[in-house]
Amino acid sequence: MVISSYVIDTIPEKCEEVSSILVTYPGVELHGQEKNRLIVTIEADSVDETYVIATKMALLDGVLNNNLIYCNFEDETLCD
Amino acid sequence: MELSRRVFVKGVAVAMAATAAGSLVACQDQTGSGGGGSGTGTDPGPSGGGAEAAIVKTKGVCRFCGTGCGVICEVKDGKLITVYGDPDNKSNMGLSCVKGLHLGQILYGDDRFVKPMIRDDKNTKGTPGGLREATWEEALDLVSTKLQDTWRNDKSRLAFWGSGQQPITEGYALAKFWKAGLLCNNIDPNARLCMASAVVAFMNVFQTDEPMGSYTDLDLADVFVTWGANMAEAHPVLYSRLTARKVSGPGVKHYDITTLRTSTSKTADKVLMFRPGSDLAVANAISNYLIQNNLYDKDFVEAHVQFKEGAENLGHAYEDGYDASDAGKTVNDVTGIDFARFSERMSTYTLEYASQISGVPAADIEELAKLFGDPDKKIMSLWTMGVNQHTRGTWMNHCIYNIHLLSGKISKPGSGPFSLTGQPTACGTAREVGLFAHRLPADLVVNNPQHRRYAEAIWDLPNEYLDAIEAPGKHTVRIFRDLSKGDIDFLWSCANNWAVTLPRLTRYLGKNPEYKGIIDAFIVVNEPYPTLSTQYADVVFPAAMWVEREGQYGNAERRTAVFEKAVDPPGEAMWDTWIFLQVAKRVLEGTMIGSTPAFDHLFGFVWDSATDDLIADQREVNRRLFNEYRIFSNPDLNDAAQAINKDSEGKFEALLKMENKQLAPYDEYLDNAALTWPVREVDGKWLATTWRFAEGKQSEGFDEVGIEMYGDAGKPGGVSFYKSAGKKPSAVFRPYEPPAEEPDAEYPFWFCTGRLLEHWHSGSMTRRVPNLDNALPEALLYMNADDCAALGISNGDKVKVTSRHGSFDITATTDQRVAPPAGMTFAPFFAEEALINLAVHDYYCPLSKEPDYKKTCIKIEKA
Repeated sequence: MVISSYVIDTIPEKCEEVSSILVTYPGVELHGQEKNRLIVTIEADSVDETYVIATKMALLDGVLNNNLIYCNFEDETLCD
Repeated sequence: MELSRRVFVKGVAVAMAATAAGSLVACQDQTGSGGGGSGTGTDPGPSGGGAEAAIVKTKGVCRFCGTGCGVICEVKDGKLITVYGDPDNKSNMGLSCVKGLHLGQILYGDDRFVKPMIRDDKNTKGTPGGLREATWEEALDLVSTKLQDTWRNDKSRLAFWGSGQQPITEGYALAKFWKAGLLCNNIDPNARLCMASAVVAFMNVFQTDEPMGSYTDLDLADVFVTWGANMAEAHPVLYSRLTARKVSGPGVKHYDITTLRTSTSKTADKVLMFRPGSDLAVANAISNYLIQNNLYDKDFVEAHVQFKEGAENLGHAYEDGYDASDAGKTVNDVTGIDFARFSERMSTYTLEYASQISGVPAADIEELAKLFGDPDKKIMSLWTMGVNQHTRGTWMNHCIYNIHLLSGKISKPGSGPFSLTGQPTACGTAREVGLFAHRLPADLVVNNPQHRRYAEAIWDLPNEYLDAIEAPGKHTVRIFRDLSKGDIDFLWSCANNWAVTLPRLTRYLGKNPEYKGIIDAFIVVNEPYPTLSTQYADVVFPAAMWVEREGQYGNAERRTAVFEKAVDPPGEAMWDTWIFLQVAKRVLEGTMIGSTPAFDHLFGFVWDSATDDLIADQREVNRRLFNEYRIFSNPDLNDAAQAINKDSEGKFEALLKMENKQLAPYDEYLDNAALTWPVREVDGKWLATTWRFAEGKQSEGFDEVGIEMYGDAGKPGGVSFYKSAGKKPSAVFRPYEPPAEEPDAEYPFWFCTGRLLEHWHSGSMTRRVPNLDNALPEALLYMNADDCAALGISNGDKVKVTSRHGSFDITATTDQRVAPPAGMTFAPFFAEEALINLAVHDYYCPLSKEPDYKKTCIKIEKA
């Protein structure tokens, strides 16, 4: 399990719309909001899968930036 | 993962994000333009204490772009398990871009070099095969013998191509080996391809390199102007700070001055789309408007600015002999003029004239000019490759400084010209330790006798020892043009992939029958992974990468940051400093400086005579190298150097004022990621400088100590440019001169190159991460839909792109991620299978010798 968290910058007037869409993504949870910034985690099976979801979030209409904050990939076998 | 562990990790992840979001909002609040953000106050801490004690936490710095994001690495059982933005790092305040997800993975690609490799048959060059495993002894001896032979035979036939990704101490040791050991100036960094125009302009205008402001200005400005910079993709974390400021302040504006619509244009309030090369006219029109309408800051100009004009009608470096031609020899000439003459020269650039040359509506230029003329507006200009990779790149940097000097919007919180960088330590290493062909450490240059005496004092060399390197060496384009002609016998490179990133590769890679030098030359490459460059290497040294060793980066805002060693490199890979000094030891064998062996003289302080090897403790090696390097900016540590710095004997023309780049002792950086130089010791504490040359308390980030030492207090604008000649930076008039090539009937399109978010530079790291590769698997040619229709090209068609210099095949797209206007095209340079640089010309700015990657003329045919 790869667990990562993000701060997503949104256009203020689109913040609600963005948050309502991204919580429908698999493994995504919304944890809070600071003005136009959303605090989000992704739980996924791999870093690669995480990336797919993170990219999808970044491309949402109304998203200015998706900032990675934390990523734990201790279950992922990187050394094979 | 156990459920309890999972819950714990997730809790940490959320706390980290809440802290980062809160701190950014708080940051806006401090500026008086935000409201309400509370943050959580949670201390996220490490991944755990107690039961989680097996986890080791170290400090890192992202090794991708020039932003310099601090990260924390967590290691369990010798493996990196977590990377997160360092909330204590003032550059990124806990943020990282999505590329940062993969910082761990870049270490673990399955094709790392784990042993030295040797090529026995030169006929296999340019193919994936031909390298065999070797022992370190064999590879080091072979490289040392080849380097020593070339060195003794003809020093002009050897070269090192360094990098803005080499840590500071490694770059310092390399520069010392090359300049003081080999007495050779044929060393140049890949920063020549990205930052040289910025460097030359900084030195011309201010006599000191690097910006006066800092990233903090992003949180304070009222107006942002991006000049040829796609920050949204190339500097995402800084762009996040810019957009955070923009949405928090209703009046905050962003003007994007560009030749094509990018992701950055999408959030700009206004896009000023100009014809390639004509940005000089747009900038001059702003300066002219300020003068003509009496909107410039008269007190500031009178107190702080001197005026110049320089050599013009420079032509272009079409021929290899350009630098030695009549035009090429005079490019740096300037003459002092008065303000009236400067105004008269500028007066040509009316709004209408600039509009006619650039295609930018006169009203848009006027709108921006009026903002610069408003004394109450704080304005930050940001630029990167569009300005620097420009056949008049140094001039364009001048033009931006002219606007900020005329308007007095410089060295003030929230206001200033800010030159961004593209590599993690282009500033800290390539620029500051002197990896350029004309430089010595700390902004010193080889062709200045006072500078050579100063370096001799610190390196304890005999008087005039460095006169042997009085003449600058070969710059990057010259090195590779000479290599292609067979005029270089030995080339060594580190931390770059020149076979993908250089321009004019059809010539340089020997694909043209008259230029086969790359095959005959002996080429050494330090690399973690196989690249196109290692396909041309005679020897590959397997290099430790990123946090597999300890090092330091210096970012775009003068911040020096240490990254600690977190894990061991795989197999027999070694850190580059060890590799350089092993070769230095062998090559300098038998050479003496005074009565001591040269190697011992230069590097004895990091060598363990008992083991006859580099000191095993990497921290100690870094500490000793850095603490010697910092003497350059702390002359009081060396009496002989201080005498030259102060010109105590009156032998020279000026004071050096080396303290203007003052660095703290190494150990200060281990605990403090916030030290932007000059770093000053005040009451036993080392304090950073956020705004150089600005009056105010040192403890609040102002340049109090510097101004007290060399400047004047109470001047207009509260600034004193104490490092500039006469304490006055230079506004230099630079006219519009046309690009090296312009579209014609045969080659009707402009071709611009650059980076996109997923891949960094040549993709040698990011393309090994499956999902970055999947996200952007292919380099595409972004075209205007009307152009495609006229050529009968559909989205997704294969096309052949041809310039006067070469050709390549690529897939065309009308995707709007990059949206060029009619007549313009764009492609990123990360893909060796769509090797766009086969066709890109290598014509360079005559002053900085930085090639223009943005304006090759091409034709496009359906393949």
